[in-house]
Amino acid sequence: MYLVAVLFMFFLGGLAAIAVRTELLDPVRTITVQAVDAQGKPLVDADGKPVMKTEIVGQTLARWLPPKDENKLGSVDYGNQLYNRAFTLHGAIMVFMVIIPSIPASLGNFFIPLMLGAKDVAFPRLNLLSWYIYVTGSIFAVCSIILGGVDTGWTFYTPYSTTTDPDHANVVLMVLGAFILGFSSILTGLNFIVTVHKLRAPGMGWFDMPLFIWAMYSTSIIQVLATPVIGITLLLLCFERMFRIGIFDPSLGGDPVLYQHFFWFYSHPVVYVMILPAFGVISEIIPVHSHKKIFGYRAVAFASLGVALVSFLVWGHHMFASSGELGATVFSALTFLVAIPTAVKVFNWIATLYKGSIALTTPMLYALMFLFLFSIGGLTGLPLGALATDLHLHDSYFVVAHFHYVMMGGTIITFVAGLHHWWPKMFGKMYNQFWANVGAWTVFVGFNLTFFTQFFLGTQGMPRRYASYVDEYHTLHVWSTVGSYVLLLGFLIHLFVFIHSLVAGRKAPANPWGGLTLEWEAASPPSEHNFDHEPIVTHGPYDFETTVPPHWSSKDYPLPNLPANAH
Amino acid sequence: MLKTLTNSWTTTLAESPQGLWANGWRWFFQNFGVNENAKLTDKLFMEIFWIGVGWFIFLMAIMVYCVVKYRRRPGVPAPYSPSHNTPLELIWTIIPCFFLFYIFLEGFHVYIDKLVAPGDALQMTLTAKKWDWTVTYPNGASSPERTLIGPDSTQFGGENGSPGARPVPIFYMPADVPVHLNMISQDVMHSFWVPDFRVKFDVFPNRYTTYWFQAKGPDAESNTLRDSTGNDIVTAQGEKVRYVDHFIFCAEYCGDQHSEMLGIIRVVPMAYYLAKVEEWNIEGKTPEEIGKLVYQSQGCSACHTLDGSKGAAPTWKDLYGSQQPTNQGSVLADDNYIRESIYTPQAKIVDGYPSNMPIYTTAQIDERRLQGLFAFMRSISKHAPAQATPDATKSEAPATEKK
Repeated sequence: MYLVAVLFMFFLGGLAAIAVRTELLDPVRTITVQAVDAQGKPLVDADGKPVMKTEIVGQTLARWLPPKDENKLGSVDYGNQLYNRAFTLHGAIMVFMVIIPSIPASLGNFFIPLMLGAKDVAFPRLNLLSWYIYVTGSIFAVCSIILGGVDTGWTFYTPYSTTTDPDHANVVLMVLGAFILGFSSILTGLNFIVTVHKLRAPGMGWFDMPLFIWAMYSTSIIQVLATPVIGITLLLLCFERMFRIGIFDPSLGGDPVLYQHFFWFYSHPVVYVMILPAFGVISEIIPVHSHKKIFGYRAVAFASLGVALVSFLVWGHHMFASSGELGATVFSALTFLVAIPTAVKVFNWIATLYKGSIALTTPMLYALMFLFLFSIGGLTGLPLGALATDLHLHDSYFVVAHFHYVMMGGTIITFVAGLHHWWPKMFGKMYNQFWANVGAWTVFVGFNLTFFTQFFLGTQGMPRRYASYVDEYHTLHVWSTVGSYVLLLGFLIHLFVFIHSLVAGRKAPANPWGGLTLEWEAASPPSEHNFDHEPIVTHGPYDFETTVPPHWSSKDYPLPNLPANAH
Repeated sequence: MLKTLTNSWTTTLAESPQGLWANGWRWFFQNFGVNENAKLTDKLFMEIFWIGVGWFIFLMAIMVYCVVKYRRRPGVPAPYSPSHNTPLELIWTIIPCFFLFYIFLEGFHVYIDKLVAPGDALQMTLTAKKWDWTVTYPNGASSPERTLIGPDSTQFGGENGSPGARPVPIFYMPADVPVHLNMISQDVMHSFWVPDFRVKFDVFPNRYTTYWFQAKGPDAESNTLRDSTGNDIVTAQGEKVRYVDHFIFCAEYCGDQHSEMLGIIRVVPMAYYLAKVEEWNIEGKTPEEIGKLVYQSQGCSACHTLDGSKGAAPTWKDLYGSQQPTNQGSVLADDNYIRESIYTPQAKIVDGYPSNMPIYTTAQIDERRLQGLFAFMRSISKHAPAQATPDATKSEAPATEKK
């Protein structure tokens, strides 16, 4: 259910993204052309000089969504309004309704109990409640879209967000939507923490847990601790907007920088709520598809916790350009600190490939794609963490490209990887690997075309959230938009592969990839209580060298000869 | 060693525009640093860039090698290899620390240069509002000059047109001296970014932030300033005036015309800058002239047109002395109403317009400038009582605006 809801919102957010790119392909702008008479003959004045007039062009987006008041069609402002609403929609939906719940809620709810050998999460009804809350929050957001949309950006920066469109409730609806979604996050987090503590199968110690569980555990801690802060902040925002209580708006005696501190105190840790589950998924896929024990299990597990801890200390790096010297310096140093556990994880994954038996299945293809894209995303974080270069790159397309490489190249790509990895388990059907691989390559090409161009746009000086731009940036924007269409095509291929799999896919075996974690012992799809008998854990989650995968024989997966000094 | 390597590469890049790598450099920045800070920033960026490229190629090479070398062969198990190696793991934890620490220190070093203005800098005030910038020069004058960007302009834009339809302000700045801007916003947050200077800083409604720069002056190849008929402007010494333009962008989202909140910093020789600033000084001008200067320099023209066409706010043509329908009932647009609309704009909103008007203070528009605005608005309104004009030539200046 979560999966369906999240995929629907992903579709909606994706549409908004395509709208944004379409506007930037052909922005609403003014051009000067020679005037013509009724017969189409160019007009000249008495001196023989051509008569020039200005025209507004680039109404592609406005023609898709014509305004109620027809006079507005053909105005620059209407095009800009559409664009501002589209990017706000894209940001808010993708962050609050897709990326945050994607892996934890849809894959986590399904696989945390399975991997722990439990019947269900600790509080199944709480889980259901959090789904209802998620849907309620999403409905609030969708309502605000139907009522005309919000133009604040997903960050709702004050005082803009408390003063825009004073006669409409859209902003309040959207903010309340995000507020409600927060409860869904908190409940899911609580549920996971208790599940991990209480419901591990007999024989499974903390360091016998799959790394996906470690990642989800770290994520849940952040969710439970940080989400209340954004809840309070968003409520204060609503109060200020509705009752004119001065908290953030200087004309009422408030301070807009306070809002930024509050907002990023949550929203920075949440970046790791988005990426840690992705790390977890990668830590599952790479060992299974290369049939190799993960390199440095404890380092990966502790890196998750380390990232979760440091994530609370770096929010100020979103504000290098707004607040002064010493604070920014401390935040810059701490920001570099967070790079270390992340780098350690990447090294461990790549080291896991060494002397493996690597099958280029669709999930593995996506996992390798993740390593590629996330490395770019991580390394382009360096000039943003360095104070001097950030003052140039902050709020430019460089940032846009960077966080798409991290958030989309990291989380969404991994979500798709996990979906392909566990699809046979969830639905009991295989999918067409060839076409899924074609989709994966299309996504890869489209992704890089869309976002790599944006690094150049950013260093050259293109600011974020611009509905139109000066001429110098045109070529790169065209490439980026073409890339986004390729990306859309890639995801459509996946959609059809999945639909085909549901309708006509052949039945999936219980353990299609030869995995060792407990979910592969259950049937595909799992029975109502997941396992027929409570499983007893006798081997580690990645002991491919000593254990034949369940449902397979040693002929299918022969074991290597162990040297005498192993283990 | 890596540092020396990257240093020598980036130095080569920075100093040889015609070099093999110059085009690569242009992909990133379009131009070479126009001042010391920008050059340092570019150098740091390129160092980080090459460090990043190095690591990326290193990691991806290992990954691709493993994927090819250790691809799955049916029936062949993965050979045994240890899954844990403490010295190796320590090494790859510690080595990145050195890189990161180096980048942090360099970033901090240049950052301080960017933030702390030299004590002898020229002090100016920059105000931001939806969706315009105003610079107030040390003598209290502001620039009334604007230009369309796009095909009409000689300097910017091109075949694809320009964002928005209204002209953007031009701020004349003296070359080769430090300039210190004290920045404040009149409504929401904005961010002042001149990409060529490689610095942006946010502008808040409730506190001053500062920005400083020192721009390299025009050289013999720079464009020459021209008057409206296309002839070169020549100084008293007979020299052509050359200039260098830099774009200003607003980098903090601020609403509908965020992407049109542009401006141009025009760096000219000191002598010409002083002459310009003196020309815009309101001393010795008639009220109407003062009013027109205020209209052009305080950003009124961003929303209020003079020709009767509809902008984001009521046009000033025939406004003075007319009845305006507002949310507080019909109001006569007289001195008191206009004064109220400037200092407390939310009091009455004319029907059909959003409440977009920024709040002005008496420091920005003092009594003398306010009286000037009244005079200017009277001169373009048919409802205003006819004024006795002692000097016929002076009353013609605003009349040209009616076209």
